[in-house]
Amino acid sequence: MIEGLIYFSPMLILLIAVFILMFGEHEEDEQYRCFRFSRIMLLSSFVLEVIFYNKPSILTLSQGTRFTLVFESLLYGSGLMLLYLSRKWFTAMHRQAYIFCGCLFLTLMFGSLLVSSTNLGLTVGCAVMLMSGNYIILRDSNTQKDSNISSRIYLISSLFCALLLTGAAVILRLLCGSLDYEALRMYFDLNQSDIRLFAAAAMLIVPFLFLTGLAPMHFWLTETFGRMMLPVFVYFVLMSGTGGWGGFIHLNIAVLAPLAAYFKIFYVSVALLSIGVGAVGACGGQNIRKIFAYIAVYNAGIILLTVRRFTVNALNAGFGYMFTYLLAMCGICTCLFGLKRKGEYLFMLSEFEGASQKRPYISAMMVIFMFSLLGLPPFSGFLGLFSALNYQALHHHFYQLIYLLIMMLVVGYAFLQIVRALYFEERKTTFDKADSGIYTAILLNAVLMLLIMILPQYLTEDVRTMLETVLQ
Amino acid sequence: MANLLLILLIIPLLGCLFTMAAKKNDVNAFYVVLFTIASNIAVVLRLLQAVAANTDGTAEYYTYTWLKSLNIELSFGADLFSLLLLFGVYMALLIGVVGLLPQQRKHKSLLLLTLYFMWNITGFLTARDMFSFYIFFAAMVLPLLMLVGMFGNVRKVSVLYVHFSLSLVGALVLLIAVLVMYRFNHGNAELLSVALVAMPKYAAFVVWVCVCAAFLSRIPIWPFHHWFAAISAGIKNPPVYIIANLMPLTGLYGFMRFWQLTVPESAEAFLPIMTIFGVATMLFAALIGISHKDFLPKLFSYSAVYYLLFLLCIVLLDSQYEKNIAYSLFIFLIVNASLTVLDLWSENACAEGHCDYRGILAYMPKLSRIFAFFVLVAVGLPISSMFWNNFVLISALFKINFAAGIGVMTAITLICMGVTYELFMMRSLKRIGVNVSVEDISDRQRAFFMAVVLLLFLSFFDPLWFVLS
Amino acid sequence: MIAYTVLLLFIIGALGSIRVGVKTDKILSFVVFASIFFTFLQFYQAMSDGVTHTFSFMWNTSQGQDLKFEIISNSYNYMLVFPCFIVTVLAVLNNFLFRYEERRAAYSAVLIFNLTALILLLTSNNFVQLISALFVTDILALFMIKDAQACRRYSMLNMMADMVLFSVSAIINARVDSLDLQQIQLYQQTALYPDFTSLLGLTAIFAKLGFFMFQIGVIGLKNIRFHRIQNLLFLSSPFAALILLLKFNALWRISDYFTFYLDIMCVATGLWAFVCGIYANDFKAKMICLMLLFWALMVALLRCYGFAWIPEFSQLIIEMYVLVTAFYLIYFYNNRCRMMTQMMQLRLTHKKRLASTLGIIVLTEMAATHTLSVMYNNINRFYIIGFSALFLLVVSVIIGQIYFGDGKRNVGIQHDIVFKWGVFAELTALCGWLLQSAADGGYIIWGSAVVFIGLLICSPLWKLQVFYKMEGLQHCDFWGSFYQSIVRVFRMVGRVLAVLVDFVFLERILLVFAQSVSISGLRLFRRLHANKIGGTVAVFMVLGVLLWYTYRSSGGQ
Repeated sequence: MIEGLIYFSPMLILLIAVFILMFGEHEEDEQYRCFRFSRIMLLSSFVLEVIFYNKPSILTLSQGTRFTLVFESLLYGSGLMLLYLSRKWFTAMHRQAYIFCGCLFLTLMFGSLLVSSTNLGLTVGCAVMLMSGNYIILRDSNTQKDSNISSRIYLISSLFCALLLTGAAVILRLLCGSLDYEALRMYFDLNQSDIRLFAAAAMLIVPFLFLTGLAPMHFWLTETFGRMMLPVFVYFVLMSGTGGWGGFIHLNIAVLAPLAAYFKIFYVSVALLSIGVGAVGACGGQNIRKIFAYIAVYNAGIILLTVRRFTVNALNAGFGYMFTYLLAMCGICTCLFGLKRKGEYLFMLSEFEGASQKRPYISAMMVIFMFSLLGLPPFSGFLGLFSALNYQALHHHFYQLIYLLIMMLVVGYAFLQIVRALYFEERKTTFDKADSGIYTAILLNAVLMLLIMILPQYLTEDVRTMLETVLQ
Repeated sequence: MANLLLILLIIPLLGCLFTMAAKKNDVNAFYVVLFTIASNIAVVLRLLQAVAANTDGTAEYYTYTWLKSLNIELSFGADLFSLLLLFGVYMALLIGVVGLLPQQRKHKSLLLLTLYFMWNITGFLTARDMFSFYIFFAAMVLPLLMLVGMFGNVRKVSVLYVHFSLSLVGALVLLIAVLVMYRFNHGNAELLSVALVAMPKYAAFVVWVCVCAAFLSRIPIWPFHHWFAAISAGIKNPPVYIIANLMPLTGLYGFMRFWQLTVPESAEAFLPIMTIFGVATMLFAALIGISHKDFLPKLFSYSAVYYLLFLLCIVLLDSQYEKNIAYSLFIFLIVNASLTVLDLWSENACAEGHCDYRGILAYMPKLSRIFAFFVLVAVGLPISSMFWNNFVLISALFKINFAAGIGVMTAITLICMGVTYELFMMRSLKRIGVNVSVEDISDRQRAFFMAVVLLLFLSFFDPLWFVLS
Repeated sequence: MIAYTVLLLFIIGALGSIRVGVKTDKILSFVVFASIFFTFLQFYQAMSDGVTHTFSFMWNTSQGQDLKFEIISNSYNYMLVFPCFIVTVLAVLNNFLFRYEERRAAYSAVLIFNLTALILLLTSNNFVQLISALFVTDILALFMIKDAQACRRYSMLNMMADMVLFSVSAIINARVDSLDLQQIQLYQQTALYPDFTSLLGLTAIFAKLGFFMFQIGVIGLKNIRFHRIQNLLFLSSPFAALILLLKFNALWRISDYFTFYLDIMCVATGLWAFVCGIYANDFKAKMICLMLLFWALMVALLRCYGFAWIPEFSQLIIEMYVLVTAFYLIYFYNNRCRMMTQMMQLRLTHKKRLASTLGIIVLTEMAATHTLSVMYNNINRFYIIGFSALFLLVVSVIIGQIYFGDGKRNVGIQHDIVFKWGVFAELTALCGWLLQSAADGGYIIWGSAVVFIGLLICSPLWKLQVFYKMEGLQHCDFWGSFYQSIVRVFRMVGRVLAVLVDFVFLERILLVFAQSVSISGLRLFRRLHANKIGGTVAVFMVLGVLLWYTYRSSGGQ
């Protein structure tokens, strides 16, 4: 019991942190203490998670593996980065960060559980909690009228998704008699052609599309990003989707694998739609956050297109892509934190005009991160893109490959608009001085990118070994 | 020697770091760039010496295991062809950097991007496998975009978009080709053997369409030539102009490497189309060139015509003409860069002296003499090795396709006459204003260009005279 | 031996190129002259001794074709080199004597380098050396002209001709797979378009010679200094073209139209030069016309002799050079006044000088008559008689009008121009040397002298000086306008292509189409993404349909 409790300590720490942050009494202007506390809690949780990742905790409904560790590392890493960057925003804006940090921990906790869950009930619960966390964070950050509408759309959509998830769980409980993944898997294996099972599986999948921001469930993502406060934007770009992806992949491997043939076309359609919507949407934007929101949709599409078979190779390629994407996105978000005017963080493209003249290093790195996101060599994004495209080529999906490259071109056009604003336009306004922390974060990010590009085996081969162990 | 290749690749990166660390609004970065280029030239000369000493013609290699599980080893090598091109490119960049006006020498971003481009093109020209080749081929898109966008005075944004899109399309379609070849080769392939990768007919067709499209998108062949011309039209910055005009070289080099050994059946179908388009564009470019009234657009047309000549030589002639192409391209790169710089200097002198562009050289005798020399080299007179090598190449073209040969020679004659005519106009005193005070080039600049003149002139006697053996 | 001469010439040329002060320049120019004169003597000695030798080294190699640099010394090459060598020596001497160049030594050096290039051209045995030497000659011609405005047309035409010759050489090399000039004969068997290649090459030669239709290049030279015109027309492109005519003679013969084309061009050039020589008011233009007439005759005679060089050709060149130098003296004594209308009645002020010059002209005419009489035969009699008549008429008109014509004096004329003893002595000696072999010439020589003097005194063409006052005729530049209009057409085509293909098609149609498609696409996209709750419901419905379709298409019942 005690041993199980110890192994559950990472989650406990997160839970305690959530309670303290969200329900404790706090004084105003205590951002520094709040973030310091959050950082300590997150780090301790992460360390313990790494140590006990595969130990059986008291929560028997979840089981950690190397695979879960990979996703959890991504989640924790993103969380740390987010905390580091957000502190600057909250301090500058003199805003309370407790709810924000609490939601962050909520996401971390339920995201981790979602990835390691072995029971559909827990999965449904975690997914619903993730959506709730997202909604709270959205609601907390809303200041504008149009954002309110967006959060309302999010609420309706998430309620609908929660209903779908619950419905699926109920149907499967009635049909199979258990919500355990192994039992469900066996049941799916035996009754593949049962339309009720297909419906239940579809009801499970749709909410995950919503969580990961895939088209056509992307409305909430793109429309809410426009004037959202920067830390929340970063939260959605880096964390929310990552947790969703972990759960979605795990669910497909552990439960839905027997129905893979039925969902083949669906996944491809959704992936291609996401890629197209993301690319075209990014082109038409004047709001830099909206552009990156669409880029997130586009990238989600590529990830789905890559992982849709859920084989070792597919997951390996998908993970490679996701990692480099997150790294580049992380860099871009850092750069967005570094570019502000009179204390205000910028979001319209016109506001970034001539930024390179005043903030040359940040602008240069932003361009590098964007081109990495586009998958152009010699940046690390190429490695991810290569993994993804190579997988398509290996399976003779040449038309999809060509479609993907056409969409890359469209995304390139979108990035060109940002480059143009940063570099080719004359500066009309001034930019605030960025603190050394931003530069440090950018430098760290760049070094990481460089290391990955030079020594890619850590990203591809080691992860592959992990995946092979798990999938065997 | 393999280490020298690595050094060749590392020096520009180090140069980038030093440039970044240099003081703002100071010329330190400028000297860093000069030193970096000079160092790489020294390394290239050493490599050339080593390669020339190999009587069996073997090249120097350096390999790096990049992705073992995917069977991808990045391999770098240098043979005479790539080293000569590297030397030519470095010389062109050096000339471009020397050509910077005092106020332009303080642009750190310009210098940094120049070095970054230099690193890319070094990697590109030394790449021996298709992955490293692709990596550097695509990597050049960024510095080109930034340089042209920041320092190119591009008046229409749409032109910049189209130009960038073309470069990106080139990179992406090459990626398709590389991926398909990788799929069928079950791993990375050496550039020398890409034509031998066994593929089903449809895949081979797709691959070679992609390869041709990728490289042609970098060459000023119709309909791509317009965007190159539109981009070059506004550039008044020597290294930027030179770099923008070096891009067709990457397409040519691509053809040289992919087409080198044997042209697969699937690619043979493109030969007549490429020949027709090539010759037609040459004539087209030459006619447009002579319709312009300034030297720089004429020079652009001239370079377009010559790039297309080299393209035709690469795709139509067999590999035994490789050396001739290399020698000729080497001179062409240097001459093109020199003329660009000299013309931009004279244009600048016009702007400062408030005088007519035509006739300016009459007031700048030192510049005029050097300018005339380069024009004479450019038109193919026997004062550099370009003359003999062009003779061999054009002769071979006549042998293979008489009509194409006639078209090529007509275009060359037209554009060469256009360029020479412009030289006369620039030297002609009749059209210049009366009270003109124009400063001629300095003794340092003159000495630099005299060294370049010497380099070219001695090549007439021995194209590799600078290789000490 | 010729190789040795080339080396010496190169050294002398380099010596002359040294930049020195004004005083030292005088000495240096003399040293240069002395050196070249002694080199010439050595050459002459070797020629007389018939020393044969081949200097050769491997220059380059490519595709199994060895490119050798060769200087072959044999009696034929000596014979070819001789006239240009002697003319160069005389040009260097005149440069020293007339003292007109600011840097005489440098100018002499250019002449010497030009001679070196000509020798390389003459002795070449392969295309590359031939074309290289030809190009070098043309480059050096630019140094001789030294006036960008004046040499524009000349250079452009020459360059075009050079490019054509380059192409022709490349075509031959492509077909016969050899750089050897002797292999041109093989081209006949493998030629793809023999007439085209042959006539194209021949046209290039005519352009270099400044023949009819291409005369604007040489006529444009009238604005440069007299001695430069003289040296250019003797030592540069026309002479180089003559050598090419010899070297490529096997190529011309391939075409059946060759004889007809060549004859037509020679006659047309002769007639044009005659007409222009009569009506031109510009003295230098008249001299250029005389030269054209001479080169037309030379080409015609060469054709008649089957493109084989005989010593009489060399003699004719030297005689012509002496004649033009005599005209230069007249021009010099007239204070370099170039308009015929202002040169008339010169006899009033410079009687002695003019009389001495006239004597030289008559002697030269006698020598030339002798040379032509030696060459006279049934094949070339039409040319010799016809061209000689035209030539004599033009010369008589020029001399007659200057010596005996009525016209206004040049107001600014100097009365104290020094008598050029040196030049006079030089020309007299040359005339003596030329007439040495004509001693047994008999009545033809004396008869021609009488006819010539008679023509001088009572030429019916004197009256044609009315043309000098016709401004329209004097400034008429028909061929210049013709070429300008061709260039204009090319420019127009270029501009139209640029506008139609590049601007209208690519920018206005393709690009605008692409832009409008993307804008419409984006508009539709935005409408779909309007921030409405109804859209969310629609999305879920779409998803449902998609899932249903997926299920059915995957075999689900």
